[in-house]
Amino acid sequence: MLSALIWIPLLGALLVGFGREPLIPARARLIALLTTGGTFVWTIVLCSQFDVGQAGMQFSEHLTWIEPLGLTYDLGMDGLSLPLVALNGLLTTIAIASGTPSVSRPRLYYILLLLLNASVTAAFLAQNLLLFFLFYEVELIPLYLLIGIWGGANRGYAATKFLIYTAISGILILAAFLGSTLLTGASSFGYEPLLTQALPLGQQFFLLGALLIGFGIKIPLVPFHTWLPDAHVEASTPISVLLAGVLLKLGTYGLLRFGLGLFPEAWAVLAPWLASWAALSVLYGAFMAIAQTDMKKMVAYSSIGHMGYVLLAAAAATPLSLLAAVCQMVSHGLIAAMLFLLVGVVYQKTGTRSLKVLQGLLNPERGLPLIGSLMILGVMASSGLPGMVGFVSEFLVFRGSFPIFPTQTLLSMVGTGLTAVYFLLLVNRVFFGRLSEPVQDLPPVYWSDRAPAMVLAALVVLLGLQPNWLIHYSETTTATLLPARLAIAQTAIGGQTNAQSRNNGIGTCLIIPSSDHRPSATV
Amino acid sequence: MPVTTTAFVVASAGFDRHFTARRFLGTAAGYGRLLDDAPWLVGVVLVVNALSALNLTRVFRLVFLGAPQPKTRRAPEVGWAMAVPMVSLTIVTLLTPLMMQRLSLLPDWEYFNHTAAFLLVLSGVVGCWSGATVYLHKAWSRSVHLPWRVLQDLLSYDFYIERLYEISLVNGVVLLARFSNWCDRYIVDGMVNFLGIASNFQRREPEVQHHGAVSSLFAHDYGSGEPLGWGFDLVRMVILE
Repeated sequence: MLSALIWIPLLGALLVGFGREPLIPARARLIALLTTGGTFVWTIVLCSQFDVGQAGMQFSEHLTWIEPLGLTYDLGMDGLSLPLVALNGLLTTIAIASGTPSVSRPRLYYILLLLLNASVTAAFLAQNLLLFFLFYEVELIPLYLLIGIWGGANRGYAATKFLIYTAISGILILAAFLGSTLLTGASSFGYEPLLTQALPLGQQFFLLGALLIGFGIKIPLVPFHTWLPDAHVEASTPISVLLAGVLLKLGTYGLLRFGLGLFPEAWAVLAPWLASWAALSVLYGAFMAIAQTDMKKMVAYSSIGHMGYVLLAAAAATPLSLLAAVCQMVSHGLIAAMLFLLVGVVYQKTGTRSLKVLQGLLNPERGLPLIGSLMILGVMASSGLPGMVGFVSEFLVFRGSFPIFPTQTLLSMVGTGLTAVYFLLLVNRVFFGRLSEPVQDLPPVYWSDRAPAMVLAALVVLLGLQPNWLIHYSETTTATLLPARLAIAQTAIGGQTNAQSRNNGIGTCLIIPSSDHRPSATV
Repeated sequence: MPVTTTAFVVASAGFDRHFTARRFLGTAAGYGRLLDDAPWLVGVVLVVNALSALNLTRVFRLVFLGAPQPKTRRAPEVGWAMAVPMVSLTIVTLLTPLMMQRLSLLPDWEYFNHTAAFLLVLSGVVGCWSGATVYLHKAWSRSVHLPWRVLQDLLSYDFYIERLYEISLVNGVVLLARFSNWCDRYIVDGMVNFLGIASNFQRREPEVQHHGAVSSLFAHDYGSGEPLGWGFDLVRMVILE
């Protein structure tokens, strides 16, 4: 069942690739849309069959692939991966729908988009470390080409920078996976937390450090973030939507699944530092966004800040904060995608994204009133105003993290205030006031321009009013994620001959941080 | 503009009545005690009540009463999109006391403080009377005496809170944002770009010597300052070799 989510887009790519010459762009687009739409519908079907009360992997698939390498085709879906797979399906469909129908080199463009969709879905579903790494790396190729071929004027620089950063990220992740397998003496790259948690804490720190930097580049966290604004600015709108909406989530997903999942003891010890890192990212991203005069760069830096909330919630590692991390991933995916779509429409119609040039676009007759209204809704959601999904996720993050890391959470709350500052600056400059001279005669905005952002706006409000539709899929998984791992770790430690000496050092850090037990007291 | 006029009158009366009613009813017991414990605070409440009545009555007198001015002679009533919420809120304002009574949200009459009620009604009446009759000469709006001007400015600019806010918080945020931007551009990103360029220069010579045609492409890239060249070179160096 899960394989269909990977193979349907690949089949679509084959159909586009071997389509009759000359390929009409509209036909290629239709095939891509039907393929990703079909994948998304299939994800909804899986959602309907998903047992929300079960914590473990569901719809599991196993196939031995390259046995000597320890590579198996293991797929599984739980409350952590399901929302992200659904988000990937939805946003890829929206990205294809929002793209220009007369895109140049349509065959390659849609093949790459479908490959990207398949590889990201596969990475979210992979239950073998090497399989995850394989798809994590495969996803780089289409994205690199999508930025490098269909990007802006400085696309070569942006694409190369993206590739270098993400390749380094991949090397670190591979090193960590190889290290885990070699040090534990495992016969395969299967996802087995039992073995990694039996490793000495020093080795765990080393491996977790590699994962933190590797996934930290992908998220991205300060100071590994500089590839993101460049990539966003140079990428076309659909690629920006996918980059912010889905691809950054691979980093946070990896941190939760592999960082926290494989090394919970080391995670518990490093948690205060991770929370401080998260607060730094949130504030740095917010301050950087304030300083920007390019709308797209501002939204890109806001993404860096908002992804920091996920790390904060993950660092706290309480059932509530882990649920908040999943919510924040989905919420940021929807809101950032919506904002990038709207910035794309503004750029397409006015030819500029500069805050120094644009003004008065909310003008009801000669401006972009509906786009402006949607943008106001989007920035309100991003600032965490009640009634929208941004509020639910940020409130859950703060509620879940505050009892554990009060200072870092308060600093992150300042980041939310700063979000309102830079987005109000954006809205005030671009949409209010008298329509500026250079953007007087704008081309008409069609429903095809508005519809993708309207769908996302509806979801942002709907999930804000009814957050249960989002959280009930992940609640059981996040509630049992850490306790299950810690129980495994305790068993593993109990089996060691030098258990006593280990317990003196790290056994106490196995106490789950909760509202009553702060890490400072337990670690 | 009958709808706007009615809405303004009801809203002003409702605002003043709400203010008064809160003193009468909501905090009647506390108010009675306040009268004994801190009479100066009662004075503040009465002055505020009188001033709000004065201001609202004065605005109503100046805007809605008197002879029409050139700009108000042909003032049309507002459109339905604005009239509907105005009329709805007028009705809600008028019905609020009844709704509160129905929901038993009002305290019993035994808690009614007669002295407080009398003083508040009196302050409201004085305020309304002053607003309706007192003519404020234009010369008064800007005194020629420096101390009065300072006081006037202090009050009219809300104790300069906005200016203070601008100097302290807004400037602080702007400075921090500029500093972060500078650090990001020249230190964080600058270091990455420097590493890339440095690796290019380090590898340029051997590339030209050993790889012939391919290396000349990269050598051209370095010469023209294209980042693509050093990027590919770095990727190749890290991944392939």
